[in-house]
Amino acid sequence: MASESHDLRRLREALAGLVADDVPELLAQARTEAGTRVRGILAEVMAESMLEQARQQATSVAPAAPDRHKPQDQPPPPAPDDDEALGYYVYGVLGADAVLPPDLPGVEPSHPATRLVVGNLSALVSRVPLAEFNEERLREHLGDIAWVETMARRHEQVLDDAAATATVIPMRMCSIYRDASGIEAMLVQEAEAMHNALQLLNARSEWGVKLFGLPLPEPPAADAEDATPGRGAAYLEQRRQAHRRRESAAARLSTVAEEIHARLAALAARALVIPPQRPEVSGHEGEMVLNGVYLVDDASLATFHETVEALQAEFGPEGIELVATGPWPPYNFVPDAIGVPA
Amino acid sequence: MSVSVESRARNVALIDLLDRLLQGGVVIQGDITLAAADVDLVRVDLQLMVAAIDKAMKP
Repeated sequence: MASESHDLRRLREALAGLVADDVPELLAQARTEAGTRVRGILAEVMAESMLEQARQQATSVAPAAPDRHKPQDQPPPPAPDDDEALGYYVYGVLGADAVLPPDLPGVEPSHPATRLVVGNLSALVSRVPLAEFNEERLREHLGDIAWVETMARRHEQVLDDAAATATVIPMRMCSIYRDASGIEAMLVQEAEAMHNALQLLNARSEWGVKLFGLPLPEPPAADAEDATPGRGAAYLEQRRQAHRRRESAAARLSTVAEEIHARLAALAARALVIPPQRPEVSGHEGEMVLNGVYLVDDASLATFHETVEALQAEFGPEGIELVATGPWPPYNFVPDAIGVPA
Repeated sequence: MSVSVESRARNVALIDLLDRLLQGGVVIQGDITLAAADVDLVRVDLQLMVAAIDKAMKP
């Protein structure tokens, strides 16, 4: 490219005219200048994105669900009110008489978790600003893994603390109602499913057991260099053997996984297998061959743990590793999707 | 002994937590809930992020 080589030539000429001592100073100046320009560009981009957000908020239509407390024809509230509007983040459902620890910080630490009682049930909730917890902002937040982690840990902490003294049916992360009447309607509508769930979950907790196998033997690589005539048959035989070793190792792992799951499931009130985690995120070199979840009676917990240890001792020599996690709120043993029909 | 019982909320692995918080729990027809497609994106992001951290930590 003509202009590039022209620039390079100029640079070379300029450098040739410099004494070596000048170079560090020159670099420092260049760095300062570059910093200023980058800051300028960043400021511009941020200003644009803030403008865009402001524009979207200004033009966004009123909430889809009509507000029961206001006449339909009333104009949407002005922006400042919207900024302060609070919704309800729902962590889970428990019995109305459940006892909770006194001090439960919510996902927004300035709003503690409290309860909304409806009949024999109650919802564990905390207030959240709808300006931050609306569909659009949530979608943006979900792209920010640090935000997701903070919210996930706070959500979990509330449920963990509550579960210490009560039976809780956990909700999926970021389940939000605009007002209390929506929660009340949901609890009335789903009272039976909730009572059944509370019965199932009473005095039980969820435990996870992950099973990792040794990495499987590598599949034989095609060996282009070894094309010596006469060695063909031996080479093919070698490849066949390597292939068989890999297949039988995989078959053995899956048999072991089935047996381990069956023996743990026999001790649990309910058991499920959830999708295995990929090696990039599991933190283990070996392949995860079982990601089991078990709803275990408090009374059977000791036996459950002893069995995990016994299974590790039994199959450990084959290179497998069992990792138990828990107790978890029973995320995997809740009623199916529920809700108030529109 | 390689059986380990990991301790609770504050230091559980993020992936184990998200396995449950984004896949499990009651799905209610609240006013605002996470869309399944968005949740899948979080999991993809997480995998990319963990992979990137691993790469950066390796000498």
